[in-house]
Amino acid sequence: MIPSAFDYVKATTVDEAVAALVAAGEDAKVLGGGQSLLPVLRLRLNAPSTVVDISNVAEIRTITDEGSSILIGAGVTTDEVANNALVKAHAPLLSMTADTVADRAIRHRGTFGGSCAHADPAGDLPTAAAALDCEFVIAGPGGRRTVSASDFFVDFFTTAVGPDEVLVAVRVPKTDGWGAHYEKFNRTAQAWAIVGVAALVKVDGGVITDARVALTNMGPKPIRATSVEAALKGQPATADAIKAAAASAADGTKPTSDVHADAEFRSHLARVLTGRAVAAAAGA
Amino acid sequence: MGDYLIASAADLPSFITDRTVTPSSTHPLGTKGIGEAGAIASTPAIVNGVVDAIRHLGVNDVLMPTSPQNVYRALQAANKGGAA
Repeated sequence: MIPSAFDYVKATTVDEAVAALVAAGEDAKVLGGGQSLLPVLRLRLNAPSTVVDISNVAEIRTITDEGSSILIGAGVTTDEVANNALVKAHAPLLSMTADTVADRAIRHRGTFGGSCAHADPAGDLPTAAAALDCEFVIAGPGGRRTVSASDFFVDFFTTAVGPDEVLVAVRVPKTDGWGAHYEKFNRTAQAWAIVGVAALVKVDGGVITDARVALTNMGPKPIRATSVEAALKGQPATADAIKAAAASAADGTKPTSDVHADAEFRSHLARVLTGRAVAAAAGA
Repeated sequence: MGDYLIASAADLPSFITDRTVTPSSTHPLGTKGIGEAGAIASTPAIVNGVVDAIRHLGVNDVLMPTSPQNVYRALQAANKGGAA
């Protein structure tokens, strides 16, 4: 279908984008790589009065080494995140997760920031961001603020980014010394995750000293499996110990039921995939 | 289309195509109808293949489509009922 008519503003700076959003009012939408927004417009699931295109804003297209973290501009494509040497070396969870997103064509257009701002519960990158304890830099008319991943993701397709704000960058803490893995279950190569699990594990002398586990599509937003994280600490990095700790992966979650999987099967997948992801991250 | 899950090249194994020629003995031209012949056989072939793969776990049937969830349910049911 053809989208409803809208005004189009091509911003060249973050300030221009914010000014355009303020001028347009509540139902304006930000266009990044367009891999989420354009289907929504074409299906007429949304009909914004104004679309503010930030794809030409130079500031949000860069990856910066900040020492203990990497600042990834919101407009950096998923493909760049998957293949950037700095990200691969210091935040491999993010690069390997990016490499599983959709297909190559979509990864070249879609952006890391766009995926997070869209906040589809089946999105892979928000889960990696939650596991990595990323920070989100948001610009609005009152200036810039930084929001933790736990506060950024609010609900189905809802984040802390207000209608007159733009996600500028995501700060990714370096995870040197951690093992990382993203395990995803889907039915065809390019389909959305039915369930996905992001795992970061620190192993010292064969013992798991720290672990972070986040789940995709087990609720309205990325969920940290805190009971698994607690259960893993102090355990030997063995297949049996990891499997036992992963048994609580679905505890406290309320996954949806749809044509691909009901809530019970999703819970089963969460337990199995958590075991696989943690084992792979721990080298067990 | 988002939920239809059309298989792409990345989902397929590599395969070799070949042909077989067996004239019909019941028609003067040796011809026979084709059309859906291959499609009809493929469904039970796939279901039988899945059942054969997990028969040792006590599964005698899997509901179509043989989705991961249906296979999981068949395994769970066999597990609860004890291996046949």
